[in-house]
Amino acid sequence: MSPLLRALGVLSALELASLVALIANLLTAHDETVSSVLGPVHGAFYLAVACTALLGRGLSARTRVGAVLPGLSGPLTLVNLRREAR
Amino acid sequence: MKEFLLSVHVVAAILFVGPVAVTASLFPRYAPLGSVPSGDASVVRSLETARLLHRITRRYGQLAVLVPVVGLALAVVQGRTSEVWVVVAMVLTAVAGALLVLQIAPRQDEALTSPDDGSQLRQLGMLTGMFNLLWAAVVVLMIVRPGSSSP
Repeated sequence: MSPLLRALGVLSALELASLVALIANLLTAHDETVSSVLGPVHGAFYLAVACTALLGRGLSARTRVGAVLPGLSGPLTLVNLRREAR
Repeated sequence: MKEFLLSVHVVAAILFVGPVAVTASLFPRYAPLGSVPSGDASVVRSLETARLLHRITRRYGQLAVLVPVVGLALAVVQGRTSEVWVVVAMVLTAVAGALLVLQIAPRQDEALTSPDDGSQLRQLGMLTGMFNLLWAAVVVLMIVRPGSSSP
């Protein structure tokens, strides 16, 4: 696996984790402070995934488009990366 | 806390992003060409110089990650994360960072290992110009702060 794919994989996993944490907080305690920290962090990871996929060299169009979709970009990219690694 | 974060943010931006802008811009002028063009002897191209410029670009580029990380922390501390100028600056920074890591640095590496007639370097010049423009736009946003709740 190339460094680009590995980095994209790690970022997508982090993005998905931050989204899950954000939704979990919304459904349970709904602590405003937690939301106000997790929200920007999730946004930053989303941006990182989207920009990495858009500007990375030699990725398929499918991976690039998938990485831009809000909410779905984490899991979709993780799935698409398996296809890329083949 | 705010003053400390702001100081780190500004100093890191000057010391780490500044050198990257300079070395990445100079790289296409000093990187060696595969075939030596006749006439143009005004610029001495040298592999050693180009390697050094490439190393500074990479090393300081890595250190420059500090700038958006501290900037985001600062925005969270100040409660500014949803202000327009902060969001736009984050998007532009992400694009600039990705441009450096995913396009400029690997293309420099290629230009060093397999030099061609100069088309690689011209593309690098264009990408570096875009990189510098993005940073200039971010700095302007930081000063003008459109959509800021406080002056």
